[in-house]
Amino acid sequence: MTTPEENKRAATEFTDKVFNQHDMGYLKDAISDEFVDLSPWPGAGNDKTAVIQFFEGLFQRIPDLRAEVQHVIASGNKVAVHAIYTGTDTGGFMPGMPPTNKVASMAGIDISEFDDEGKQVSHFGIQDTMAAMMQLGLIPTPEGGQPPHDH
Amino acid sequence: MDNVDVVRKVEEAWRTHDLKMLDQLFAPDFRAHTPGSESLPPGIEGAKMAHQSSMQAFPDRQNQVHDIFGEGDMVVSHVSMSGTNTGGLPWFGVPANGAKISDINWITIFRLEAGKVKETWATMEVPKLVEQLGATPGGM
Repeated sequence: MTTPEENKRAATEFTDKVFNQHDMGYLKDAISDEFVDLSPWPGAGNDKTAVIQFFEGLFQRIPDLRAEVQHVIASGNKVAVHAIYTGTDTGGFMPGMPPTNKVASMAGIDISEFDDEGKQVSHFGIQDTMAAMMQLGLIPTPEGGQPPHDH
Repeated sequence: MDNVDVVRKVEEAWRTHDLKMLDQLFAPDFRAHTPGSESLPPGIEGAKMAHQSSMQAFPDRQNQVHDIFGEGDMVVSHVSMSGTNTGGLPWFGVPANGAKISDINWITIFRLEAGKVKETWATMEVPKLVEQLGATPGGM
């Protein structure tokens, strides 16, 4: 059994090793073979192989991608990481999108579950991709009304 | 009542539109850091306006609370909504069109002080919402 503190350290290290250092060896070791991504990006699969492919593609499209951790919250076998992701869109923000060669930043909040060995077994995350696409000029900024949400 | 229980009450109040209850759960100088919040009044009043705008668009809106957990003064919640766009969303330039939306998720991080919500940060599946509304992000 890993403790919430250990899971918290693992999740923080994951963000640094994967998003800042683009360490694919670390990624492969940090997630379980049973891993399921509950929130894959459009067109991406949800198993371990698909996640590795997703990150390989992401780092090709945004080679200087980096993360700045804002909050890490752990309880039981779950950890939430809130970070700001910044990078230059040199290869298309999402697969199939034209490269804009602009820099964008977006917030992401990701909830990961850890198994008894401290490996990630599931992930559910939401990134503010809309904000990034507005900064890149891929979509217009809303002009009127109030945003609809409960937070 | 610990901080996780406070957030449980907050999400229950949003879900059941018990807006009076929220006044007791949020600090007077509450600040939302959600994108779009800068166009709203400060404090819980701004968050209530965003809720009203959601309810105006989706009068039949149903929220589902999936997960709430916390550590110290920080709490995380994962909620989703479904409903029918019978009211329109000026924010997205989308008129009332009867589009059904479902499984639109958001995750909120709450920071509490003395048992009251002081700050929130949230991310929401906005592209999925826009797509289900029948307005592709590119054509927004």
